Amino acid sequence: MKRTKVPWVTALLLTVVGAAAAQNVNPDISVIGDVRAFATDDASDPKEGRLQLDLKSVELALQGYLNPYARADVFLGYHDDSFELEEAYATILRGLPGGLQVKAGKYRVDFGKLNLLHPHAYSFLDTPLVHRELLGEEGLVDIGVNLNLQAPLGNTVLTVSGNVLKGDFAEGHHHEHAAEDTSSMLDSFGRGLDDLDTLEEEAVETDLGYSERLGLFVPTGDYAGFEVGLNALQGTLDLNTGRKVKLLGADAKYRWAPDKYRSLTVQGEWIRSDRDVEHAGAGEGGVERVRADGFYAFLDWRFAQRWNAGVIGERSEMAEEEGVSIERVGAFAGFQLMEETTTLRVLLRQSDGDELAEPVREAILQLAFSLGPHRAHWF
Amino acid sequence: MKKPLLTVLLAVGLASAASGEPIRVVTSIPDFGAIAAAIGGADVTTESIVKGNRDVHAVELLPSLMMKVRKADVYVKVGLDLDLWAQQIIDGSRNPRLLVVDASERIVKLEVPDFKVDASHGDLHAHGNPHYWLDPANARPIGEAILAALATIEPGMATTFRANLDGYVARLDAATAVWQSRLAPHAGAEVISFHSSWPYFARRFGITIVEHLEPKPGVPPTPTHVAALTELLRTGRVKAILMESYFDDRVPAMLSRTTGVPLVKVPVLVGSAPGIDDQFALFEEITGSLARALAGGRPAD
Repeated sequence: MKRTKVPWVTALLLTVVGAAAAQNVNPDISVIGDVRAFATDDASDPKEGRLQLDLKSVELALQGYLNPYARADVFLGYHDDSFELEEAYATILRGLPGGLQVKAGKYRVDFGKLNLLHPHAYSFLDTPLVHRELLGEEGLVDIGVNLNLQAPLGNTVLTVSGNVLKGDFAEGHHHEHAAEDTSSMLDSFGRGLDDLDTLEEEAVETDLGYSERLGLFVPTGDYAGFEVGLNALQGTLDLNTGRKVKLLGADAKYRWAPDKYRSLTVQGEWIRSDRDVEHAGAGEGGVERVRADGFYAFLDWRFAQRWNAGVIGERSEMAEEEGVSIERVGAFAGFQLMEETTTLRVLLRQSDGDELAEPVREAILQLAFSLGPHRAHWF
Repeated sequence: MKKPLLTVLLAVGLASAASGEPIRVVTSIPDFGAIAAAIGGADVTTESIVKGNRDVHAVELLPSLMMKVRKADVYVKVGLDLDLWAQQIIDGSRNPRLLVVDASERIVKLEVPDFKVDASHGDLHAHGNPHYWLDPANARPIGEAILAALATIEPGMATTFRANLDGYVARLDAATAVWQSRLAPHAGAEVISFHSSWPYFARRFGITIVEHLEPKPGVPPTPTHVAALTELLRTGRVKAILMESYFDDRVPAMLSRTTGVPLVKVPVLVGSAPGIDDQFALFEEITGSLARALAGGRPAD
């Protein structure tokens, strides 16, 4: 993902906030911060066994209606000492034939359920391996146009969605040699952050990509239901070499809330990637097709008004190196201090894989805080 | 929702043709559905987003809720920033002909802050306390707002709807007089409540809310605050602890046990307990339980 310069973002912020303050109808403004303390026994980490601190992200959201039929959402993020435009899109909410909704701009693509969430909202703290490796470091985010239809089928709800994408999903992977890609994934352990700026991007020309989602929600009660979804993406990684990528995914989510204070969420997703990768000695054109699979599954039990706990298991093969995989399991818990504006989360996890000499254990403590309006959670 | 949005949606609603089918009304809380049903009779169907013994402050946005609103003609929300989730459901419904009614518009608001509201005050509502349906007299302004929407869709039924509302309010007024007489012997009685749900009720029925279990709205009881409340309860001034049935009763029950002040745990929404099927049953339960407790008797479970 491209990084933007601080002055540019500062000027934009001052313009937007200043203009908003001068109007009677201001957008909702909210800020979410994510502060972390962590430790790892990863022998390759120079700070092995030492407590480390990090400001993982700060997100500024500007949201509001454009007119009675449309709204706009803008998210600016601070990560790794730089700002970026995370999302900026307008949505036509109502008034189109058949209940069609149209979204245009830069946004998190509806490939699965989890990719729509910003990572600070994860109960399990970190982006799953399979998303990081097969969708990109920060998930699947691109400039595009989304068409979304939702219709009742008896008691169920069918969602059909399609995206035309600019092709920035190719930037989620940095096209160095495979060995360096391996290090990019392994280096993330213990820090919860990758310093992407140290990786050198190659200039690539992408072409439009396309993604589709089919989802079916089945209510099982007034406050319970499950959804299953199928996802696909086709795109060009490099117009010059003609390298392509295809993604397939399937996801399922079940939620049950027996009373005001308790709820159970069980969710999982499987993704398969078929990606053309440049390798010296890969035959004619130096390109070979690499297939990679991965999944995550988690269970999150909110057992009291402000407490939750759960487990997550995940595995992913590397997108650009055949047969190299990593697995990890973790246990997490969360506590809301006073209100949901301040949350403490802890994650204990163990990772193992083909490129790790021995299993790596990590402990991560997160303080997530939010200022401003808090919108309800989508299923 | 901003007023321009409401205005345009109302205009769209005006253009929608009356079909002869029952008017489909979806409400944030079942109490509004009870009023809409009283106004519309057989010409209206009602459904509530919040059901049972649930907290109206927090709702998860299930796709099935969007579909309910997709087919609706009218949505009645609480407003005053209580059911902020309602706007997301309305947007998710993609229903361009939906008439959105903010039932708070004609309410005389209580506890409107005269200072800048932020999260340091807890979950304080900047435009006033939103629990206005707990005054039975507010059925009139709520009903007027609903009536205006129903009459917009079915202008030919406006007279009938008006008569139905007048009749409903008259019956509720008569019942309110009985409920007031029930609590009249306890006028001015000091009561602690769990959440700040009761200013409208307290004004109507002459009780005085002197403290809350929550130190700030939405903030759970802290040990320091509970200790202060224990001291207050031991003075003998406070006659009851009044709480909403959807909150966790462990702390108020402990306070009641240790101080001897009766705990009155009552439903605050229609449909949130067996037999609480309309506003009459709701206020009968609340006033009956509170009167028994204030008289020194055992409150109803």
